Amino acid sequence: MKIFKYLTFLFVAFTFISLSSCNKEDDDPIETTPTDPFEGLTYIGETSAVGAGAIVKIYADEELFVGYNTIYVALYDSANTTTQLTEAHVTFMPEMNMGMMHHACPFENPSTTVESGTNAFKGAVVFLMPSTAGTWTLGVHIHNHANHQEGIAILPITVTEPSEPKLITFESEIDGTKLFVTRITPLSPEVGVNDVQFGIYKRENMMSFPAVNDYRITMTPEMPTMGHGSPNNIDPISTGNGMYDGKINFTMTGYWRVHLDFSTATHEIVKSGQYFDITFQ
Amino acid sequence: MNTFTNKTIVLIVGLFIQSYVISQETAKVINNDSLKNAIDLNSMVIFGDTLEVELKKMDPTSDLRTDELVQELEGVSMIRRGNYAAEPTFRGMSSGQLSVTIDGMKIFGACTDKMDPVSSYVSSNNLESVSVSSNSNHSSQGSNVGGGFDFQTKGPQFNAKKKLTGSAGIGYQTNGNGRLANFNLNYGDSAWAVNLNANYQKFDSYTAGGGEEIRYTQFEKVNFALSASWMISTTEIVKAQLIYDDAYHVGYPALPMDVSFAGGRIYSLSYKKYIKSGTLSIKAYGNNITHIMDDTKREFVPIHMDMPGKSDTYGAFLNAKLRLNRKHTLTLNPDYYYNVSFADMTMYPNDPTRPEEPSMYMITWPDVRRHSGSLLLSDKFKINTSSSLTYSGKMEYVTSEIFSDFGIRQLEAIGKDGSQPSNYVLGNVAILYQKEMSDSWSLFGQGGYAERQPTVSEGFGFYLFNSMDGYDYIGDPSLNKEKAIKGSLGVNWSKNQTRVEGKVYHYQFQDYIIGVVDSTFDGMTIGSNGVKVYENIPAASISGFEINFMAPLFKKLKFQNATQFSYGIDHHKDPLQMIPPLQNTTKLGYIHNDLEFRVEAVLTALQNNPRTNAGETPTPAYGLLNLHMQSPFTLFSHTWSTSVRINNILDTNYWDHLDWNSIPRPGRSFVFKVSMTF
Repeated sequence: MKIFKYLTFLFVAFTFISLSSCNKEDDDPIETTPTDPFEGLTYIGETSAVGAGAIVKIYADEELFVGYNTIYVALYDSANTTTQLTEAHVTFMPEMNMGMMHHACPFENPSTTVESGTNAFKGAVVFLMPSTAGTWTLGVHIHNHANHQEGIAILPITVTEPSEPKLITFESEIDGTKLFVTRITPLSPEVGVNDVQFGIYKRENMMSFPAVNDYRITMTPEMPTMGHGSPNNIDPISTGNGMYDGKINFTMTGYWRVHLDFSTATHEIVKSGQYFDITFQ
Repeated sequence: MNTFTNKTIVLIVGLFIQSYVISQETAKVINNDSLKNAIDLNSMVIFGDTLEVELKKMDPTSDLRTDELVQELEGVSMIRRGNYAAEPTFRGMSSGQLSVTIDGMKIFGACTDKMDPVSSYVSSNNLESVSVSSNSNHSSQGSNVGGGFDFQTKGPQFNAKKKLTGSAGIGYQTNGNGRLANFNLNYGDSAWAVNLNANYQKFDSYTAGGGEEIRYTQFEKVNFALSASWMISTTEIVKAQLIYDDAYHVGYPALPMDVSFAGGRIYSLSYKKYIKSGTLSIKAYGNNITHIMDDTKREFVPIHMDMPGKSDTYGAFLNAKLRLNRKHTLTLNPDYYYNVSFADMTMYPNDPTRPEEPSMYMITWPDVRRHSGSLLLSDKFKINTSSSLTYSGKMEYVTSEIFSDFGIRQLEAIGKDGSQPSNYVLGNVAILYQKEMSDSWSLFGQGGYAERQPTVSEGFGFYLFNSMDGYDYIGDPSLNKEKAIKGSLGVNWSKNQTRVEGKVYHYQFQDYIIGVVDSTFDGMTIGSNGVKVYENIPAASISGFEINFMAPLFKKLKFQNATQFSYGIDHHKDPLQMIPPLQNTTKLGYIHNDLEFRVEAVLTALQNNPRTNAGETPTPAYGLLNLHMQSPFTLFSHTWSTSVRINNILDTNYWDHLDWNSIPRPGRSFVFKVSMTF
């Protein structure tokens, strides 16, 4: 009887060991292939910043469009193009040549530190019209802190009008100032609660489009086809740099119109009856 | 005596014990041989809190539909949205407040608009009995506060004198061009029995009293039921069952949409053992309900929509009835079920200036998965020969969780958190005292406390349009359970064949679940009045009475009169919705030899207590006169039966308070029926 017990014990123990040893076969080290840090971004073009000893490569989230574009500036040493430069001061000089006139557009200059991963300088440019109206160039001024030299890279670019506008333009009812409002997020809207961000800029002159930070926005989403809206939206409020952050709720997929009214901090109406269309499936 | 008869006797005794135990706490209407129609003036009532109508003796080829049959039960009124599948209510309670089962199986309709009550998935010629119980602790019921309905289907019959028996019938109804056919085939020997039942109905739109055609009242329905029993031993039976029910092109004039298809697949396997002191039964079951709404046949559709719904339920229960001693009979009923409800809605824009506009999509029942486990214990204590006390307690745990991320995000968008499971612990207690005062007097008193969890729509529904009040309904996952304290008293006097019975009842609700207008929401449906969110209101109550009188007038003439009344108010003393008005039904029956003749008069009072904020308006009183004749004959050595019914003889144009959107009901109609049994 005792022998039987021992045999059973041994059998159970053996089974246990053999089962647990089976699991160890999967312990192969995970192969790490170096991934392209710019994967997922759209390559816009490259040129050299003459005088700064740098090659400038421009990336964006998608092909450049009329509206708020996040721009990634990657700098490489012109003598050794595999060396990425991370110490620099980068400023934008976007310009549109319309023949008779030139104008710039609103933009956000990158900070002096690079993004981790891409080691690129990240900023934004708000293009105001598509390339069909003229010729866009994106000028990038580089102050290369490695060699303390400066230079400008000028890259011809193509800006298209998105199928659903992401930029609206109107004049202030108070003083006639030309205003530009761009919808920045949601990038991929979905049913539920979405972060929504707008940027507001004004035209000071043809070359200066500073951010506007002291407005109020009343936001009302609507499904025009059904004639209903959505509840519990949070009106965007100013968070600096012309940005206004809020929450927008979609109760179903389809075609939505986001109505916007703008007023000053003192509730003076700047413009009402503006809207963005957002369609998603 | 051969084994065949032996088994038969055991079976019959077993069945007797079974029905005896059931009827302990029940009032039971048993059909008399002489009147073959389902529920009749000649039926006998045993006293209590459950009304059980036995249809064993009913004409197997009855021309009454299931909903028409249920509506005859005391305390029952039907909510009608069309000419098909009326939804039963009991004493002004409906939907999640009641438990509706088929052979004890939990089934939940797949329609977000309650267009497919469970009773629509069983055909009347496949019914053996229907019980309606005000006791929330009736065996194998889901949680409820108001009681419930159980539809018992016919099983296959063993020990038939002939191994192969059956019946077949065809019928025609003039109003609505109704074509009816049914068929039943039974094979039974001493160990095996198989039954196939079929029913087919096709109706066009009917005409209301006065001649107006009510469009979108057509339907077509086919129902098959196959069941097989195997008698393993003299005390053990295994039974398998399959119900296959399809309805097509069902019109719902009270709604903006019709139903292109509603299908039920219901199946079960059960084992039953008769033991010396009682019975033991185990059942495992499943059902898959599909419901597809359709507006393509409608003329004016602002936006075309697809609205399919699906409800799958799987469950198992054990039911043990044990007679412990001469005084105590114990019922033990552990029960588990699992339900998945999913429904969505796709809207197709048709703006020619925006051909690129995509369809709009939302989920109306967000893949809600619900598990429920419960244990019911009940004891019938026979105090002495004239009085008994039945007390019971049930505990149930229900957990419901949304499995659609899309659905969770939708709820988040309207400020509701659906990310966590909704859990409910439900407790129910009930006590029933019955006493026979003398040979002719008896009385009963019943009290109880009941709780229920919110339905899927109440907890998780998303913009469900109710065309009665014109509001879109939104559920709330954080609703409290609804509770009710209830009591009823009844007296019964009977002598010879004369009988008077009266019952009064009161239900006091706490956290009553009802839709409350929330003006912060926009209605979603085009033309809707806004949005109602299901909320718990602090209190509501329903009270009422039922009086039943029956007497033989002359030797061959029987008289029956039944009155029912309910009154429901919320915590603001505003009337509750869907409360039936005072109703009185008189039946006069004459039987001579095999000829039966019956006249029925229905009088329904004005309902001037509408819930106005639920879109209700006062409903005028109406009176109806119906007539039924039936006569059997023998032809080619088979028994044949003919029946003629004339519904609404006076061609009254009327609708009931519970009819959605005051759609007039059918006017005068002749129903002819010929059937034979073999």
